[in-house]
Amino acid sequence: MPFPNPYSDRLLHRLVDGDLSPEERAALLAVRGEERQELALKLEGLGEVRALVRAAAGAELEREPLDADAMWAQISARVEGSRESLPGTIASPEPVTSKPALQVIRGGRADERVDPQMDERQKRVRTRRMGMMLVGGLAAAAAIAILYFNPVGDGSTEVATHDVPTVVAPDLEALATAELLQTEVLSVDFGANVGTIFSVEGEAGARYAVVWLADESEKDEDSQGAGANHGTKAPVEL
Amino acid sequence: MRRSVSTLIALALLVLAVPVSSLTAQQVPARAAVQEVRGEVLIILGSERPGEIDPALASISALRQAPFSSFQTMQLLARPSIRLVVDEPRDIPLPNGRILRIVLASVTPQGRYRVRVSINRPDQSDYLPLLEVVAPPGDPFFLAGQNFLGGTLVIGVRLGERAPTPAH
Repeated sequence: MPFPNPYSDRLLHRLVDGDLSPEERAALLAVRGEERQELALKLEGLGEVRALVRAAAGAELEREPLDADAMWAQISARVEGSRESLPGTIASPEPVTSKPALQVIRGGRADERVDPQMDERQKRVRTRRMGMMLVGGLAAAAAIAILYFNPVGDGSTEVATHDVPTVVAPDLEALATAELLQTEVLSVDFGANVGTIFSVEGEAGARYAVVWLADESEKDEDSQGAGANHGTKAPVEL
Repeated sequence: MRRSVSTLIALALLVLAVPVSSLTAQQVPARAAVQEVRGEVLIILGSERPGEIDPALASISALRQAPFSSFQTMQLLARPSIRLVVDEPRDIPLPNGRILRIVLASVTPQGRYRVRVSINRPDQSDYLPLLEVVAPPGDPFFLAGQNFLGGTLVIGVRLGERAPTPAH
């Protein structure tokens, strides 16, 4: 029987496990020359791997020997004991040979009493505890707020303000005062003249209000002198 | 039970809100008690004729911006110092014969100055009947537009001293 892949891992595993038919086994082992040496190396390596696996598994089994019979005997005895302890149970005159029926074993949640009133009381207690915890948390937050924001007053508060770090304070201060860094015109009466209001940027981003009012009522009565002085004049003593 | 829990939460919020609100009220600076405010008035003559910018005005960056930047000549005619008390008018004579009247109306809780200004000839109301401005300490506001000597008068009013910028 021809083998399309005579050295495949699957075929070698089957060979080692003894799953090959006599014809397949004979055909595989009939190879000659270099192919035979290669097959021998592969079988040798596979044997070493299996030996390692067996050694590891054997050590594990020796450490905790499993006695299946003893384990089942222990389980059966526990089941029998629990059945006999139930009230009104009649002991079987003959040993039980079939599998025991499923039943509740002590120690589980079956021992818990199901009491609706007790459940309601527990809910109330839990709700009350949660409420008290919430109130306590809010009270602690209030205490922290008092300690942190308390301004410097008498001597007792000075210690607290020195201990509180002021890392955030400059930023908050800058945000709070950003709107205040500008001059604002609240109201203006231009009278008979025409005027406008605008602002120019000043130092550090501040805005300065400018009121520009046309001087219609007075057409530069000093313009005569202005021509001689080119619009300039010596400072006026005020 | 839920009602009692809600009541407890409401009480806790009340306990939290009372001290915070009282602290907020305490932290407002009591600057309204300022008795006297010092300041200065800049009387500037600007002209579009070629010339020089007064070196004393070089530090005022606002005067380098439009529309003031159209002035090729700017001369500081006078720089009188003033002291203002609330509701006491202070008169500054201008070179064109008008009177600049400044009244400190109040000091806001934030420390800004509320000022009333008028510019008129004596016993007249010929130019600026009334202007009401609120200004932070050290920040000026400007009144411009009066004709004088072929140029334009620019009046800057600055009250108080600007708080130093905190070092970072």
